[in-house]
Amino acid sequence: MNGSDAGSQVVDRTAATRLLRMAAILARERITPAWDFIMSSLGSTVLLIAQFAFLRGLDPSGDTVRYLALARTAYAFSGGQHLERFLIDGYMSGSLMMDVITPLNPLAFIVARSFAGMLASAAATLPGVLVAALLLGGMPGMSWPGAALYAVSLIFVWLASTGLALISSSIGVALKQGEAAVQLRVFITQLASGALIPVYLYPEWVQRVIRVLPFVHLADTSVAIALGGSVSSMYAQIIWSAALLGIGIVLWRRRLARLDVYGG
Amino acid sequence: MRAALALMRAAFRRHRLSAAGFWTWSVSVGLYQLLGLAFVWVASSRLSAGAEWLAIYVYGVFQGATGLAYAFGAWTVFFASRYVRRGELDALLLLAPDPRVSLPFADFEPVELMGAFAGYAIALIGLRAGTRLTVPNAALTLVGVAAGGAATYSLFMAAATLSLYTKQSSAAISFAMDLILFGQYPMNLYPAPMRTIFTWVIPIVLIANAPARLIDASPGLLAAVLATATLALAGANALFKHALGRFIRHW
Repeated sequence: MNGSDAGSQVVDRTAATRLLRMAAILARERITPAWDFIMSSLGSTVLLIAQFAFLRGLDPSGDTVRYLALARTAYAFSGGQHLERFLIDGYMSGSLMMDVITPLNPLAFIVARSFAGMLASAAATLPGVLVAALLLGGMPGMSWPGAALYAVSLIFVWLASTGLALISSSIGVALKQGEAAVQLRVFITQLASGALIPVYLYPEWVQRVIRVLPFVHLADTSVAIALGGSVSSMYAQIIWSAALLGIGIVLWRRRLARLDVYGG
Repeated sequence: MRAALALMRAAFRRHRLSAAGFWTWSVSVGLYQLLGLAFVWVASSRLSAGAEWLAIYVYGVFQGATGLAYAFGAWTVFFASRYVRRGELDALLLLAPDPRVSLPFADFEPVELMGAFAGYAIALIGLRAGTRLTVPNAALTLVGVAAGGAATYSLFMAAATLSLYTKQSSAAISFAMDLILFGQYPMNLYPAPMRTIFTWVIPIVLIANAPARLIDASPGLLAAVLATATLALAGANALFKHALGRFIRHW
């Protein structure tokens, strides 16, 4: 290793540490005031208990509740609407200019924000899923390898949803319909991922359509992996998350360049 | 009454939407309602044959009732604690109309009323799915939505009353908003302890489940639901009046 390689590694490590610290600060910002955060977590817990109780009444075997407990956990790692709203509001209002002129790569800053959103969303959702599953007998049984693969697949859920957020906010900004873009993305991903309705409950032809779309990798693929799927089930998830992230980065690089030249 | 109507007209003028604003609102409200409908429809039709019409119907009545309560109860849900915290309630109390009448009309939310109409339409879809869509049933559904709206509004009023006592906390209102979500699914599907709690301890059953039974019930149940809704409204108003009196004494 020559001197310049060592130097660049030190710089990289410093940048990575700085980004992680930034993500921690942003995540803390999202969970304070603590009381508001607790109340919003309580709200999502109540909704989950109601939905799980409804499903338990329809399906006494508990399979649907077990599926949804895993699917909701996976979907929580997508980080909610935080990144999209930040990008759209920041671009429209011009406050994103501050990120463009920081010495850090603005895309790295966006990734830190996405990571913080994921942490906050998981922290708000997981207690609710746990309480609802325990209360209604929907705790999924997983083997250790299954649990490990599920945990790895959650990383790809986060990467894929970061890519989707970049794409949808880019479309929202281009069409000057930010809120509509966010709502449409939430609608499509919730319906087509399995986070709201288990994919196997849809009619056959709908399932066939859903399984070729990328949204299924935000929840259903992770559930299949947890319930005995193999590593090969993850290949499509990895490819899709790389593709979505790649497209999202290209779109936002163009947006940021435009912001740099024209000021939005 | 004239003052209340004038306040309502002003609220309509204040909420006049641009074309872009209307489009955004339609997408937000429409997609939210559609998500809930899809969940209820797919889950109930695939998991328990014959259960879907009632599930859709109860969900529709719930959306209609809560939409109505939010439209007239926006102040209790979103503004009550702010009014107290910022001292705005003091100024409102100096106005001539009774705040129990003026507040719901002054803070009327037309957008939420559109959500209530969408809920009513969903309930009619449920009736159609159950081949029970007749004119009397559609009219009874409307009565059910109104009775459920009154029950929900009373629950919000009771929660807002706590804001007058605690001076700043909006936690009670947030919790009330979350708690009513249990009312959007047929109560007969819940485990027995939950059914007991939501029928006798916190009567969330009054929001949609009891009103939804009006279509198959005798006139006795219709009278009971209407009487309960009226009582709930009167009780919550009396509670609020008492809290207001205490609030004024502590000025």
